[in-house]
Amino acid sequence: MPHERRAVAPEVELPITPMLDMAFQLLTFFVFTYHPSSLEGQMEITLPGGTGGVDVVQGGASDDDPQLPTSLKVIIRTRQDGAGGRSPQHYFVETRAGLSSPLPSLKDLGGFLTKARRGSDGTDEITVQADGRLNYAHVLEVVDVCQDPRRGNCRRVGFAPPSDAGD
Amino acid sequence: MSHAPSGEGSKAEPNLTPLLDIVLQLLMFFMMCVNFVSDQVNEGIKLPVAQSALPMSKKETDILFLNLNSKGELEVLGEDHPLKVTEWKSFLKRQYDDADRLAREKGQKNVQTVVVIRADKENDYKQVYSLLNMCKAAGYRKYQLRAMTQAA
Repeated sequence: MPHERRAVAPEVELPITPMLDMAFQLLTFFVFTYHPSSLEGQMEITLPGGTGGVDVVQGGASDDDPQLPTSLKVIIRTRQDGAGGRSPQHYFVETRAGLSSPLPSLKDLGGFLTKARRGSDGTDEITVQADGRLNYAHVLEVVDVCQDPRRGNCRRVGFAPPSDAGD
Repeated sequence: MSHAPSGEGSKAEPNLTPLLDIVLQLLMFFMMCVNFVSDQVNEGIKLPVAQSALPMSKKETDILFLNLNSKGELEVLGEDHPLKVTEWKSFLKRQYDDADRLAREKGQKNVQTVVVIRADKENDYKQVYSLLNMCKAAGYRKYQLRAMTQAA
């Protein structure tokens, strides 16, 4: 009775060490080239100039109940600061009813815009006018207030030509 | 009769399979996150902060990046030196003409290029406004300002 030999499959040994070594090399490379996502965001704006302001109606504006305009103009009045530049002093909002009283802070500006734009259908626009010497960061703070959903809530914000609206 | 201990030491064989598995997982993660192409942005420009800035849109494909540094010079890709104010108009006109020609070749009516302005927070409003005005004069119609969503 012949004895059948069982075929023994040859053992394959895979050398993992060089594979692991290469994997670590690649991992080190990608770790060093990794950059976390930036905190940069975008803000849409409309064209400057042209339709900068609104028609001011005689009679002045009431801050308690500003009339709903089709567009608003935010004017930044500046003052000379100690560093030789200019910084915001007051904010004014020009509506169809007239010019508002000076708003001393961005918080007051935000509150005024919230009331002024209540019931807006979103097609109106806010124009920002500032002294040409004013720091750009301050102008963008005002644009931020205008576009903030909790305050101005207006995505259509434009720039008016610079003025010397300061001391 | 005691049995003497065996002269051979026990062999420790670390299990490399799960280690390799984790390493490859990490490798795949970092490969997915790598970005070799620069976005034509200048990291030296300190952007102002704006909470209402929206996350950057990836759908725009035709973008012109204009980096305005703190000295009031325009830094753009392809130019060997920062452009002074007197050079902005000719540069923008050139860029617009190229974009217009490409748009016509594609059968588009208007130029779809979005002008992205990355101005340093130390710039004056007048400088940024001048740049916007020149872009408008050149023919561009779509604009974006870039800002940091939170202070770095």
